[in-house]
This record gives sequence, structure tokens and C-alpha cells, in this order.
Amino acid sequence: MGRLLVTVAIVGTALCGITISARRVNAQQGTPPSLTTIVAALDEERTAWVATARLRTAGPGAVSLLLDAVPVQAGRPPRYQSSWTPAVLALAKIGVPAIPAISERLARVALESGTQFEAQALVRALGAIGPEAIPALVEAASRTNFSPTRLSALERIVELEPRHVVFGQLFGPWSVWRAAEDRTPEIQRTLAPLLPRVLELLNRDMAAWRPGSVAPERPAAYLLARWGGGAIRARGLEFSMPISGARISTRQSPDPMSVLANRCTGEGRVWDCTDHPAVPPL
Amino acid sequence: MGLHRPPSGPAVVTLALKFAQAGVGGARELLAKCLVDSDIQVRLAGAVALSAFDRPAAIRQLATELSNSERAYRDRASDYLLMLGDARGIPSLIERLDDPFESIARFACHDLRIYTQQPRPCDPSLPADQRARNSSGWREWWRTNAQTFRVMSKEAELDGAAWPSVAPVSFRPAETID
Repeated sequence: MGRLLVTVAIVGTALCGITISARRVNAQQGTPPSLTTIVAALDEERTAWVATARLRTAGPGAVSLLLDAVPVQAGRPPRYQSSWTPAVLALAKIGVPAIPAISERLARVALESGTQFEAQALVRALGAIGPEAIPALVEAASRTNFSPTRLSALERIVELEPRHVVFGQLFGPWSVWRAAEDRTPEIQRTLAPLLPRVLELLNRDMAAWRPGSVAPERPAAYLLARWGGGAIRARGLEFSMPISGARISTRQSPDPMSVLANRCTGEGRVWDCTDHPAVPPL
Repeated sequence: MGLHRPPSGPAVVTLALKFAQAGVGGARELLAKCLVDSDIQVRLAGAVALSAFDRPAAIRQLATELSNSERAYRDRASDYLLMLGDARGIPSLIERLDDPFESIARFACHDLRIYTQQPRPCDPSLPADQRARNSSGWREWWRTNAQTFRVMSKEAELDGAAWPSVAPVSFRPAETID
């Protein structure tokens, strides 16, 4: 037994030495590190950001390696509980070219049990990419059987529009300051054709809702009210306005219904809600 | 430091911004007047506030402040220009890498990295000779790339969102990948 342990230790030390030597050789010869080496560097606090910067332009080969790294890092306490892992950041920096592969992986893990952290990390990456990822987020929300993942996917769409008002808290004007950059038309154009699917999700989740459960129908209703027209918008408002107090959960962020209520009735009004009977009087 | 740090300003600018956000008539014109105020603080903060409605006018104003006689104001104008996606703020950040105060050099390193996405070394805790080599490397990079460089605003915003889970500048040395 003792001899076995000694052997394992010697072999381990030798392998470690080979790896370090190989890296030194790479560095000395000016050879660029391999994609595998860069992705492995995501796991080290002091090299994680450098790795995300290098992977930004590394091409499709990096995406599959990063997708394999996501479940390893996702949910790892305590640093990565926010679902912002180095792998997620690297995928977000690659941007639009990474959407199909993320979407494909998400389609698989959204249906598996025990993959909630991975699914939420992938959803985070899609949301960070921008309006181009809206179809993939709606697809993920439709496909998953897990309410938290659906909630997360829909909230990422809500967050794409910069927040201009904060309900119930007196933040200074600098808190909601943003330099002029209007992505509203892009969000509208991409999301509008998908709103019937969001409405389906709202109806499905409304039927299944139980006290204390997460409420993915809340961001769904917000999206319908904010971006829809006619009957679809009316359905969103109908759900959002009269019963907003009944299902508010403090763990949900952002709070779309509160924002909606403020946008309809508060001083930071950004669109007119008065055409719907469900909107309460000022 | 980066996009995740909200700006602030003198009370008069803050008030004008609040009015402008609420759609009060004449508030934007008031912000525009801030740009010609005698107080540099009002001009700088006014430009940032105005950028929510008129980005080109804000950038024009901040660019003129780059020739201010005081370095602190030039640096602030540079920071705000980068925040608005204008590359004329980069040389000031490179200059600050050599600052004797480590915290200033560290912020400069952070901002340089997020706005350029260049994984070049700029660790402020290294010995002076290594720091000098690193900042010289950044100067050389800027000489080569200044004409074609565009500020990586989207990536900088992502870095801001991911901080502190992923920190652009580590407090531990040797941030290179062999």
C-alpha cells in the first residue's frame, strides 16, 4: 500500500512537472497557448479575465470548450453564485456567433433534471449577448420544464431594455442615467413576432401557479404589456396591474410589474397605459 | 472606473438631469447651458448628463476639456469620453499606469483592459522596472493601433456586469497565460 502511494506520488509529480515544463517551453518559444490551455485558465482567479479577453476572438472552436466548462463552474460556491462565471462572460464576449451552440446546449439541459445551475448560466450568457438572443431565450423558456429557468429566461429579455425608473425607492437621477443609445426598435422588432408564444407561457404558468412558487408569468405579462399590441397587450396589462400586490416576491429582480405600474402611473411614465380599463386611476 | 460606476455631479446639474428625465420643458436646454459654465465641475458633469439626450454634443465638450490645464480634470474628461465610447481617453489611462499611487495605476489598468480588451500586463504591484516595461508596451500598442481602434463598449459593459465574479485586474501577480 505504502509503495503504491509512493508510486502514485512520483507519477503525479512527474506529470505535473511535464505540464509546467510544456507551458514554460510555450512561453519561451513564443508559441501561443492552445485553446484548451486558455479555457483552463478561466478556472484561476488571476488569469480568468485575461482568458475571457483572449477567447473573445478565438472562433467557434472555443465555444464548444466553453460550453463544457459552464457546468463545471456553474453553481460553484461562493464566487460564482450570481451565475456570472468566467465561462459565461467569455461566451457573452464572443457574442452572436455563440448563440446557436448555446441554444443547442440549452435545449438539451433545459429538459434534464439536476442541470438548473447550468441552464441558468447559459440563459445568463444569452441575455448578455443582447436582443439578437431573444428568439433563443423564448425558445428556452418554452422548452424547459423548470419554472426558475423559465423565469430567468424571460427576465433576461426584460433586462435588455435599460431601466429608467425604479419603483418605490428614491434613487437619484444619476442612478438611472444612461448615455443615449436606443435599442428599443431592435428589441421590438425581434420580440414582437414571438409574443404569441410568450402569451402561451403566461397562460400555462397562470394555470399551474401555487402560492410560494416562482412566478415566470410575471415577466411574461410584463413583456406582453410592454411590447405587445391589441389583445396581447391587454392580456399583459390585465394580469399585471390589478393583482400586482398579490404575488410580489422580494427575491425576484427586476420586478417587472412594479416597474410597469410605475411606468403607467408614475412620473417616469414612458408609455401610455390609459387605454386599458385594467389600469388603475392615478 | 468603468461603466458600472455611476457618475455624479454638482446639485445644479443633478437637478437639471432630474427635470430632463421627467420631461420638464427647458431642462435639456439648461443642461446644454452647463457646458459653457465657468465651473469646470459643472461643465464635466453637465456633459455627462447631456449625453443621455445628445451624445455628440457631450463628446465635443469633453474633448475640449482634454486640454484643460489641470491633470485631474483632463483625466476625468478622458474617463467620461471612454464611458461614451470615444477613444481619445486612452492615452490618459496609459499615462496613469506610471502613477506612483498604486490605486490610481490599478484603476487605470482596469479601465484600459475593459475598454480595449487587450490582455496586456499592467499589474501595478510589480517592481518599478517591470511596470515601466509594461506601460512602454501599452504605449507601443497604442502607437500601432490608435488609428483603427474602437472602444469596446459592449465588452466593457459585460465586464462591469460580471465584476467581481471575474475581476479584470487581480490582486495576485502574474496574470499571464503561458
